[in-house]
Amino acid sequence: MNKLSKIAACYGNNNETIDWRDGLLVANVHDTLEKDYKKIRKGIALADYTYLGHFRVQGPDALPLVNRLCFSNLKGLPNGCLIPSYVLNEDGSVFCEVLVANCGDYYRVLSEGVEPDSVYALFGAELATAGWRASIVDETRSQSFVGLDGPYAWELLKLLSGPGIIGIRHLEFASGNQLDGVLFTLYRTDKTGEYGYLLQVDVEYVVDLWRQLLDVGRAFEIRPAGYAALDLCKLENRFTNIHREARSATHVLELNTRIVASRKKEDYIGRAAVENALDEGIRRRLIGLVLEEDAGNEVAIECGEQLYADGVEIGEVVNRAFSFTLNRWIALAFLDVDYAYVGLNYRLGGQRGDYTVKTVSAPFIFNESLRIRPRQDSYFDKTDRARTEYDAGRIVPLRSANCRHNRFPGVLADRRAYRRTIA
Amino acid sequence: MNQDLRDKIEQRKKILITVKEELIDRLQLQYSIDEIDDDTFLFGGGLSLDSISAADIIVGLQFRFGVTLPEEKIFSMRTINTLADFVQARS
Repeated sequence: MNKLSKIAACYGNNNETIDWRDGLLVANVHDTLEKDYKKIRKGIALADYTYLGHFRVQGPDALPLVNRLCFSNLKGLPNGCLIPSYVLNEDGSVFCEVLVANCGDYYRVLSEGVEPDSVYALFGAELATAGWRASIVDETRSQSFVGLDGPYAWELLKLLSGPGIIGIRHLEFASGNQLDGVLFTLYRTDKTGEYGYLLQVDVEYVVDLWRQLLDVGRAFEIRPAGYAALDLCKLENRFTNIHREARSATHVLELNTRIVASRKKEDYIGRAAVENALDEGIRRRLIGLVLEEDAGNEVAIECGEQLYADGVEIGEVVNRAFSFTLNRWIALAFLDVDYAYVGLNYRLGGQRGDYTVKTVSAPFIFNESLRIRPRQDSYFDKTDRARTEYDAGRIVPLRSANCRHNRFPGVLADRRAYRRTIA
Repeated sequence: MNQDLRDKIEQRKKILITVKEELIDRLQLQYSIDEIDDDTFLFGGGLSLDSISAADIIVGLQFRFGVTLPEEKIFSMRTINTLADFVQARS
């Protein structure tokens, strides 16, 4: 199997660095980490999610089978909606992260955190043990994903698919969208805390889709962002990162997932370990940290560094990054539950000396997307460059163009009309 | 653990428990205090509250703690812990 992302064919315009993610080489950074990050936080970024696993579970027992695989209770998940969850190991640690979609007559499972082949093997083993009346189809090699993230991602999609796109709420999806005749399914995931979408497309069209989104998105100054910037955004929002803190967790409940754990749910992988932890309690819990300002920005927090209170070791850093919004280092640590409270100063002992860190509430930042009202705001009202283009008549936002407003199918005439205006 | 740290933690725990009790009572949540982590999100995920619940939170904080949370600030209160931060800063 080719281990390089298909979208790598489009790399080369920037200073990309590539690295492994779930068995595939994808862009870690496209331009610089800060530039990638600012596109996500202030505009629109295009992201390569071709490494996601993708499985279709169908048959009369599709729901009980998926429910058996997942930590969350999927009963009651409405058609057209998504639920993020984990697949656990029997010891209660996290095997992988999943996003489950109820597609009516089947369930779609998107996986992240381990190679899709390993996920398929685990699912297949489960399917074989209990005589489920269901089948699992691995569509990882036939379907692929790109992401649009940023406070104005909705506006580009509105241009492509009509204003109905604004009605797709957090953790909903819609099939049957088109871009130049290419069908795609749109999932609203908000993985960075900003408006965030996954576009699922037949794998043979994923490169075309990527190029077309870059082309159509020029007016929005769209740029690709690598997964390092996406990871940073997740950290700032305190959305669990399967490649970082979740990988370091010895038990899923350490990740502040207590509200997900249900004793009423039917049997699932890892249930015994979860119930044991509910009875006995957990020993450590994830908490946010900021490096106190007197340390200076040249001091970096590193994963694996220990935290101390009165000289007693109380925990360990498991994720960290420099926040360009806060202009300081932020981190996550697993702390002894007796110490895992907000508003406290602890000593961080690193190789470069000791520094003070403060425990803080989730999330670290306030998202630009929470200030935006799609029916009132526009990217073209916000940026000087786009404003200049707009004033010069080279950009006509959809609301000003003479467009049909269908909910999902195509709206190709709108897009072509739009492209003519920026030509 | 030194006494100062112990006192700070106890103070924080009290606020967190009261905030959780108030949300459970006022919003009729089907959870116990122990089932809600301190960093549980209020809106979007976690407790999945809506804008009507947001108004109830404002009333609840006023009732339990005597603090007034401006309506425009409610959606910057993202988690149980951020509500506790707000209360603690004004207590």
